[in-house]
Amino acid sequence: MKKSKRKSWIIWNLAKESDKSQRKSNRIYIVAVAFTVLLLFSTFSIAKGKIETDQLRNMRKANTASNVSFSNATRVQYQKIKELEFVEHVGIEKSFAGIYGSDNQMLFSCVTLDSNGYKKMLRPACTETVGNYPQKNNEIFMSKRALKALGIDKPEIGMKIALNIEWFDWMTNKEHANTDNRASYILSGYNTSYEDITQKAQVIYFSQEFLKEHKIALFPGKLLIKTKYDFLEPSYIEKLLYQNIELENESQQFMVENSSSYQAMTEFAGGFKLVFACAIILCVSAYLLIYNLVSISLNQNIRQYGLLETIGMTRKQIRNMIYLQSLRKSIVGSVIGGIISAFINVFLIQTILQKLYLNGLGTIHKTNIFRPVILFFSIAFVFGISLFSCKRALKKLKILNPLEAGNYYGSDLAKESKRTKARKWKKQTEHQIKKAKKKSCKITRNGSEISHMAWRNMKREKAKLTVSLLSLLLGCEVILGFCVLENGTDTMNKIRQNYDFEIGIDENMVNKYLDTVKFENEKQKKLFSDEKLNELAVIANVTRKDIKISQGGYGFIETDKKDAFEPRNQSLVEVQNGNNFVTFQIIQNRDLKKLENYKLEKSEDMDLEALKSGKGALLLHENELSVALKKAAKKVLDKSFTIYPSYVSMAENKENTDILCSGYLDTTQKSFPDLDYTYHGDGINYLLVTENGFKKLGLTKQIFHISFNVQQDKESLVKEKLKQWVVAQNSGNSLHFYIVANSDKIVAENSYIQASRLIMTVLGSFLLVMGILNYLNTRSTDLVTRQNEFILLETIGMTRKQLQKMILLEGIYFCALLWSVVISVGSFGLWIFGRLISENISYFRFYYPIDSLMIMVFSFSIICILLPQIYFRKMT
Amino acid sequence: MQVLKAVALKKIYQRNEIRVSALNGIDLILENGEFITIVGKSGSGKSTLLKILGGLDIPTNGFVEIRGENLSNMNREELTIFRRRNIGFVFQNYNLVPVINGYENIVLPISLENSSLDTSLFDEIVQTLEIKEQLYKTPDEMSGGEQQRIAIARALITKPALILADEPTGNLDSETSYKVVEMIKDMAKRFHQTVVLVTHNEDIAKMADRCIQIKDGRILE
Repeated sequence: MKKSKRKSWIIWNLAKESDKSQRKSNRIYIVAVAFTVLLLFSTFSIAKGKIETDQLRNMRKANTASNVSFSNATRVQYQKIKELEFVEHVGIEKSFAGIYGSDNQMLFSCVTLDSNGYKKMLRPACTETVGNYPQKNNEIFMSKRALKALGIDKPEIGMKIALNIEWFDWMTNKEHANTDNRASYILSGYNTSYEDITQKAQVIYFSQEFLKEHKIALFPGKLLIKTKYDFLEPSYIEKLLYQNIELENESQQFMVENSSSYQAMTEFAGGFKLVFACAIILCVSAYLLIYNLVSISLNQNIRQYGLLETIGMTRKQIRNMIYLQSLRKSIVGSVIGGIISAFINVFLIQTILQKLYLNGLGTIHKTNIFRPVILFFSIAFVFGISLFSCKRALKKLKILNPLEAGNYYGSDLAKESKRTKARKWKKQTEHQIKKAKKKSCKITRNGSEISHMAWRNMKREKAKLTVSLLSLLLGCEVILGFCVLENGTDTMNKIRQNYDFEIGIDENMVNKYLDTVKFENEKQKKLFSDEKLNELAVIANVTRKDIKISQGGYGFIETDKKDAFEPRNQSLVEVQNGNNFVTFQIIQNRDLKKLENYKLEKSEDMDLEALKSGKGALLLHENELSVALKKAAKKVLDKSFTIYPSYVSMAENKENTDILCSGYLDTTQKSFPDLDYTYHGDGINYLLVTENGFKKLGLTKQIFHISFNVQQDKESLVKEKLKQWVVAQNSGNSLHFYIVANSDKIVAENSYIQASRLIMTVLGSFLLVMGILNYLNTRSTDLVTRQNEFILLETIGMTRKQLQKMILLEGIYFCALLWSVVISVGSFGLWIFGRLISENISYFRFYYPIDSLMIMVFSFSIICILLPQIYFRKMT
Repeated sequence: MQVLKAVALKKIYQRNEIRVSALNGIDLILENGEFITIVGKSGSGKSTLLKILGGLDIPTNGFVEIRGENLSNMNREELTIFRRRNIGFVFQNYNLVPVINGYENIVLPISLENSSLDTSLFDEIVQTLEIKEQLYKTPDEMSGGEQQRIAIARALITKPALILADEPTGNLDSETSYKVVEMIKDMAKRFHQTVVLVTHNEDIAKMADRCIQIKDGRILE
């Protein structure tokens, strides 16, 4: 056998034989490696799975995969946007007609999508797609829900559907003659969509051939854009788009939403930064565990290495042998960890995520959950830290010569080299002697020698103590952090912010009513009367004082005037005569205060003095103004809105009131204050005024909705009665009341909440187990290393009971130290964590996880104090 | 007065099929205040004999009596307490408790007993052994000789009837070795303690009142 080969064989054999003699500690190492692989893989898979599931959920709810829309886009702009580096896909949507009901409400919107608009935007957001997107001019595509609205419960490809389409070109504000003589259309495909359609009409999709047939140009059209990088903030994406694309007119605007994945990430953990921080903590915990194991293992074998070096094995050869040992164990551990991880992921996590998170929103594919890449990186990471830990631990070995290594009995290597050399020959000062004497005498006088020794033993090896403490602190902090995150971002918080009940009049019905009185010159009636309010107070057993009433009124505004309303007017895409309605809501004092703070914080252009004095009104919008229009809105500050009590008075230009514009506010801004208003949805003209301002307008005071809380134990009974009242009011009445019970929302969210709790608890538990494993391994090795010391103590006269007391005290001191660090430093860390999340999630509430902490303190203390005792008894 | 009586001591170590006879029938009687050394080659059974005399190991056959108390009749706890009160140990490797200082190491047996320290005895021991400056240092801050003297002080502090020293000079230079043995002898004489010292050093052996030679687990006459 060649020399080099023989040397390699010897090293390999030594490594193998050495392993055989340490089966127990090897098993611990292998289990730790397997556990670490399992932890890393499961954690990142679950996190990715949850984010992707939430992403799917968000996408399906929004019915699109796009995160940006751009209305009235030209072909040139479309081409330019396609070429942008950060844009992944661009689709075109052309809305060209509608299908109306007998009451002139649009029931269906007629839309055409291009190939990308369908394949990249619509199809990923829906499920169970059957058939194809229309290609021929007589083909249509609809969702099952839309088909059901037409009375079709069992759709079939190729079936004929009769439609009466009315044309209206939103761009030119012109009606087209109905040139479509087709009696019926062929259903080319259908899907299942999950969009909330209570606020808008259903959609029927037509082919591009259909547009060509009716000479409707695809441009200008609405662009549906999906950007590449999910971690980019919407405001940044908006900035990039405006920088790169020149707008053709003032009405063009990029509407940027949180991408479904950005939203999922934010809701999951408050943003990418926090997720990244959590990932770092996980990796550090994993590193500490493996490093500790490697260190302990090397410490135990130092005498052997010293002996090997004494008889002629070079340090390089010893190092290779150590690496080989580590590699062998890491391979075995990784394989075991990998198999268990794959099993858990495929059979458990996918089921949980699907059943509990996508409840009612379709299914997810297996490939969404099991990611071999994550498994590969988990294993590679563990390998990496094993080898790195070996290298670090080997550095310590360098300071001992072979003889010292051969006689090594287990104290901190670093301490031995530095401290001993520094203080060995140094004379103690008188003061030092006096101090030490006083302390020692006190200890021996009190009979507290054993507790003193226990305390000294616990902090004997500061490096190991620090690693153990740090590892456990990380584990505890992550669990507590998850509790803070879980309880704080619990969707229940979102829901709990609401009152128990909200009752109001359906908005569509209000619009209908206003439409009917449009041409009548009589004063509006009170839609939600005081009598009804009193009835509700009696049913709910609350006083008027306990009921929060959102009030305001409805007026009319001239859209053609070049006044304060002009920027708003320009922003409305579907400009039509019917949108002269304007809603005024009376704002409360506490909300005025919030606006003052908002103004100070953001230097928003607002005239709050005019608002407070009743001379002004604030206009709200949902990011509906383009950059140019936002600038124009600033210029109309303190110009007037002209308000009329009815359409007739507007037509006759009488009975008008002028009110100053106190500012345009974008409610989608990140730090927009949590105001109490009923406004929702774009395209609505909504203004805030004070009570004084409203009086001057001369509009009929309307109750928009009321909200109140009831006694918790009577909630379900009250709910039943209120629902009956609503049903009774709505039968045979053109005005429909609605009721929203918070408890119903809670039930709906329940499965989602439970799933979150389950997953977070499992992840946190993994980490804590890692920390405990680390501690127990350190303790058990420490006990083994100190066997000679225990024999000495017993020789001198320490009974076993006294020895056990000492070991018990060591455990108690460690626990006390750990919990004091967790409660002091850890609590501060949790508070910072909470602050970071609250910046991203508005409904986050910080609850100190006192109960989780107590459970952890109790159970962990029992484990960490008792297990070493049991081990010691077994050992001796 | 008889302090120690060992009768027909035998010790056989067995591991799988291998049997090693460390002691093959040893009888020994020690009087109060005697200073004896046990010499023999490596593997002759000296350390085994010392361990059995100190109750640290159980003989396969035979028994040991110290001050009339048969060690075989005691359980582990009783043996530990008996050792604490009646036997002082000095080892080759000093064997101080690393986390406590010299003073605490010395008074450890008394602390474990929960009894009060005889300060005059303590001062005398410290003065004789010249360890005043090492009292408040931890073992890793002391030299080998200093550690050994602390260990001797610990062995003497409870005024035990019997002091067992297993190669106490093994890790010391010749000058220090001589000094240490002289100190042990001197202290033992002062407090009427019996000393059994195991050594392979003939010069040290000659310092004793009586020298016992062991070979193949037997005492040579």
